[in-house]
Amino acid sequence: MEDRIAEFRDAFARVKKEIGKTIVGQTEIVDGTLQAICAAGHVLLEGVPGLGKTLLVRTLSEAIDLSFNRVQFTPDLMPADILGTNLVMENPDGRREFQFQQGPIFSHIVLADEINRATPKTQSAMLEAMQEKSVTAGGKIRRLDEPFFVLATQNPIDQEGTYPLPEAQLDRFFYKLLVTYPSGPELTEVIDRTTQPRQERVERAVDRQQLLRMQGLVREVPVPSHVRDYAVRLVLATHPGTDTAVDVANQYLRFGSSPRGGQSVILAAKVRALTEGRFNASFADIKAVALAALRHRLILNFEAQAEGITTDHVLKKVLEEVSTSGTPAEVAK
Amino acid sequence: MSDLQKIRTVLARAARHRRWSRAWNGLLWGVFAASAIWLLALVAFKLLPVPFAALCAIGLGACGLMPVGFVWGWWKKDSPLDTAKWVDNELALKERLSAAIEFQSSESWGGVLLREGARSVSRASLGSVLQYRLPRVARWTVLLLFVGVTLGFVPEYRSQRMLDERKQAEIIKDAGTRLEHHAKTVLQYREPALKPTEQAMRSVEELGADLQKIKLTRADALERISNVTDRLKEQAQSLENPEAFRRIRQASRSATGATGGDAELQRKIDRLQERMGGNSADLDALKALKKRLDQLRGSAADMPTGEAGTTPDLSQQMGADLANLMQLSQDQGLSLPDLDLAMAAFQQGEYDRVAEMLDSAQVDLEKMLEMAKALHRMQTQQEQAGRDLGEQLEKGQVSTAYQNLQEMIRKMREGTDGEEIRKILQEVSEALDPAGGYGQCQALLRQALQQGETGNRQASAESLQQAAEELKRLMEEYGDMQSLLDTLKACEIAQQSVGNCQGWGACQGGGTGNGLSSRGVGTWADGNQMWKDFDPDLAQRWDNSGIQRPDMESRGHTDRGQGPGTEGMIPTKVRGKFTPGGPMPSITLRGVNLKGESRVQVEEAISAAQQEAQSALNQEKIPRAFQRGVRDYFDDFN
Repeated sequence: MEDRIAEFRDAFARVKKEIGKTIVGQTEIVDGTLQAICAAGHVLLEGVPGLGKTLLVRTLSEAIDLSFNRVQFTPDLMPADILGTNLVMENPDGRREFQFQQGPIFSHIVLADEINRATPKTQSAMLEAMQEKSVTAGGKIRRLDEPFFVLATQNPIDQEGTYPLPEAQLDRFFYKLLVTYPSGPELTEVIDRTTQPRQERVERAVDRQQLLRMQGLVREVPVPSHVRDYAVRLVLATHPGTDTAVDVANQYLRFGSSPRGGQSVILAAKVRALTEGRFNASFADIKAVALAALRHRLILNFEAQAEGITTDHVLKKVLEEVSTSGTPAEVAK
Repeated sequence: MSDLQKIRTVLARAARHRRWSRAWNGLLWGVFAASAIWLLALVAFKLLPVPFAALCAIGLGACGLMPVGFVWGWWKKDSPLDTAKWVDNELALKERLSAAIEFQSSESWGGVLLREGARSVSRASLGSVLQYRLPRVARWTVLLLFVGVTLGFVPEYRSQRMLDERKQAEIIKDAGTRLEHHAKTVLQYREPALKPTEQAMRSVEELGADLQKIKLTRADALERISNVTDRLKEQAQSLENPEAFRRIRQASRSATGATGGDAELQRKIDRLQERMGGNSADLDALKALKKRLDQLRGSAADMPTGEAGTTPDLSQQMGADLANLMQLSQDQGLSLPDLDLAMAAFQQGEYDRVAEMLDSAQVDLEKMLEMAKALHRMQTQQEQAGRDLGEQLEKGQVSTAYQNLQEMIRKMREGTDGEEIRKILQEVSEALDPAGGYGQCQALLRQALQQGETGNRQASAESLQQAAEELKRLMEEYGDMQSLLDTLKACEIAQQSVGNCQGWGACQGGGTGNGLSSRGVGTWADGNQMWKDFDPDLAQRWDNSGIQRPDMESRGHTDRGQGPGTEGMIPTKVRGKFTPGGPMPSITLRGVNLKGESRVQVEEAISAAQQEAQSALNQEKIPRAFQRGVRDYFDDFN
């Protein structure tokens, strides 16, 4: 067991190191993306243009020996453009028949760039693929090759002509990571690296089988019952109008986190424990991953929007108010 | 030691510490709760009419929370998993211990987790968290206790109505106590001769007990006292025999007294003479002896100490005086052994001892003088007593007359000679008129006289016996009457006390008819005057009228500060009105004669008056109770 854990940590560190060759700083984003991949989850990256979101995903695909496709979402993008379609093809016998032409979704890593620019119809085409990891076209279900990740980006500004992601789709993302501006030294490093003729070459650090083993190990990591209960209480505390809700949730939330939020928190905590060399998830892990795992699952009410309250603000208050002791039915107020 | 054993050892130690720590915290929480409850009770006591006993009870009950808190904290026993969680939290072990305990039996992860847990425990410093600390509640406890102690110095607020009610209840209870005590004393020492009188006294006793036990309003208490008073009055009216009682009362007020009789008085005289050494010293001679002794004591005190300082003349003079004094005392038949000792000391030249012995002799002599005075007084009484039956009845000396009659009856029955019988009949015939007011006594004496004159001695003696019984009945009725009157007086005082809401002592100013003046500062004996009735002569000595007691003077003239003024005398500032409901405090000040015509501007006059008033205030010429009123009065001119 200790060998497997050591292998996990080693692989994680190698991938991170390879990504570090092209991505300067953004440690939280890189860690978060890698945690989501280790937990077999999808990631929504939100940030203004030019912060390296697309570069990060491309570098990741290079560091892990996986197939990669990029889809630029635009308002006129159709579901078939992503999933694929049946085309009338002539077979070697000269007879014409429908033949399925795979779309870009048939890849291990799919970069859905500016996903909020596509229409809801097109966005919804991703739902089955993200959850069931299969595509239904022409009445036939086609399995996607494991592992399968959707790494989507969206731009928080320039909202005209965009279509906010439906809640169902948002809920399917394991993490929502907010990409922020680099600091002064980081920006200097970015400029230095990108304006020189010779650039670092990203090596493949992990292959597909190794990644699958890592994902399997993550699910085995034990979570103490009181840590699990704490995660449950956190999720329950976000449900407004219930006995378990904290005040801030009642005041600012219209809907709280779904059970997927709890699953994501626990899985992410497990990955974080492994990456830190521990063999069990802890309260600290839960607290560290809660924002990224839950922020996109909370729906703010009008009062919160009017006051400029964000889901991060609500979640921080929830983390403050929920005690680490107690049963799932109890939320310390 | 395996990893699991290491972890269990640490957890057992931590669990023990945690249990005691929880008990300690429970104790402090108990102290906090007790302090809070006691503080609330104290606040309630200060603001509301809560009895002091209730405050004490709440305080004691609250103290019980401390052991309860301790036991409550100690009782709970933690499981190893709970202890592991606590150690994880205290040492920031990131749930390594709790995970190890929870998954110790897991095949794949158990070993790893136990190793990690043991490693983390060995690295951490467990001693740093196993310390007993004061919880935050201890600060609040200290604050509460401080507030409570401070509040203890704050006088409690009680409304005037409540104070009045409380005072009223105390006065009713006190009146009940005194009435019950009075009735019991009467029943014990002056047992009523008549059943109705005894029943009336019992009703007073019951009334006293009721007033003490039952919470009554003023009206109810007055009604009950009034009912009993009416009953006493009815009983007293039924016993009223104006003529006989008037004479007996006169006799009791006179120096001779009526209750003792010749025999008793003679016994007292004999007893006193026995104490004086069997002789009846002359009062004047004793006074002269005392005067000589005082002079000799003065001489002895002036004698220089030591033989060196004494002159032969002085010594000779003193010896002569001492010898004269001894001769005088021997002439009077007095026994003053200290004089002999003084003489012995003088002969040995111990002048200091002479003075001491003379002092002792003076004390003895003063005692003898007191006894001689008492003896003289009694002898005077004996001389003033009636000489025959008629005179005794005339003077109201019923007891003496009763004894006289008994003596006559004895003689009549014993068959004394005719001359003696004739004297007896003569005395009886002279007593007929004075016996007129003593019920059937006159008729019975007349009957005895007639029977005696006809020679029927036995019948005459029988009639005399009936007359004596009649006198005895009258004496008993008089005794009952006196008891009833005393009790009526006590009931009146009780009514006055309850009705006016004044203390018992303040209501008995009229005296009890025993000759005591109502003036004076009073003594401890005034609290219970019942016993004075048994010896009115002694009671004379406690009249302390005219004695000054500065320590008992009213407030305002001592350093105890200004006392609370009585109702109606507290100055009230009312602008623009004169005497709006009470007399305006005023005082005569020496100043300018205001007669005649004044040509001074009014402003100047006011200013001058204000200055004079201020001067008078500064010189403490104005009583403190009026200073504020005077100051406000003159300030209002501005």
